[in-house]
Amino acid sequence: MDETDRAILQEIEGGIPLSDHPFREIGERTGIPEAEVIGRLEALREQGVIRRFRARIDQRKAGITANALVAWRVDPAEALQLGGKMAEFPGVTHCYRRSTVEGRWDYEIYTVHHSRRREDLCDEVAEIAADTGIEDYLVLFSGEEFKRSPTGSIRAVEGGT
Amino acid sequence: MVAPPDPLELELLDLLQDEFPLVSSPWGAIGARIGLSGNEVLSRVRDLHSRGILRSISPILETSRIGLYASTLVAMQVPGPDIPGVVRIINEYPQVSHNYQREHEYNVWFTLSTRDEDECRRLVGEIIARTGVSPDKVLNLVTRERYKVDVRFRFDGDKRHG
Repeated sequence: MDETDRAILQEIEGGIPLSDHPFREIGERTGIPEAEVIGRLEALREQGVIRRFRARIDQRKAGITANALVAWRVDPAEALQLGGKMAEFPGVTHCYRRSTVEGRWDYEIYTVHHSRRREDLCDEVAEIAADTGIEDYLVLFSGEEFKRSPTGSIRAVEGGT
Repeated sequence: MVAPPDPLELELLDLLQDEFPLVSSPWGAIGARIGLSGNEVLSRVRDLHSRGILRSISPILETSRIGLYASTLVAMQVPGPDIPGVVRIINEYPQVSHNYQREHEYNVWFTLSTRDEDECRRLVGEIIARTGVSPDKVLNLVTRERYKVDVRFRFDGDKRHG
């Protein structure tokens, strides 16, 4: 990835222009020919720098209003393996293992779930609990959204605040 | 209130979550899959965007490939009236990507991606200090393993065909 790649990514990380020829417009803004913009984006996708290139949806406005982070307390010896297993449930969009805070917080695995109804979400979580035998978990429904932007920001790499 | 997506828009939302065509006229390429012209797709897309249902069409970057090697999830206990001020400080940081209120004693939860663990620790410390929230009301849950990130919402817009 070179400076030109960075310039293109920075220009579009907030979204491509919704115009007839978005990549031509990005080219005009950055002074790079359209074909080169497209070629570089393809290369970045092939190299895995761009993991996905697609629409970001505000699911709440499309009717998916029940959204929750679930924190699971697991046997530390089994955490690694359980994380992999839980990631395989189709309703899980994110699955992470995180550090605990000694004496205050011992949940180690985190999953994220989305549904049209809270009951459905709770059913899905209960199924995973039954399947994995994990009894201690917290369903943390999200309320107000304060911020939501793509995770990998070029601005973050540059350390700006 | 936002008008909910109609069946054609649901179908489009499904298609737009596939890999976006990197071509000069992407809307025409998408339209060809469902019998719409490029102009019709673009006008629907603009409408979905103006209603806030479509946030953006963006590249999702692999954090480790762009130099972000550390990340964390931070939970804070913030008294209700203090929330707007605390949130304003947290959201100033471009390293913060997600920030939500959650139904728990820990009611403000945000994620942070940084170049390394030192920067991560430093920024979390800085944010805690600036917000004035007591460190014993904060959990810093550092990412150890990422098993899955696949945010995709199935609207089954194609069901109307069959």
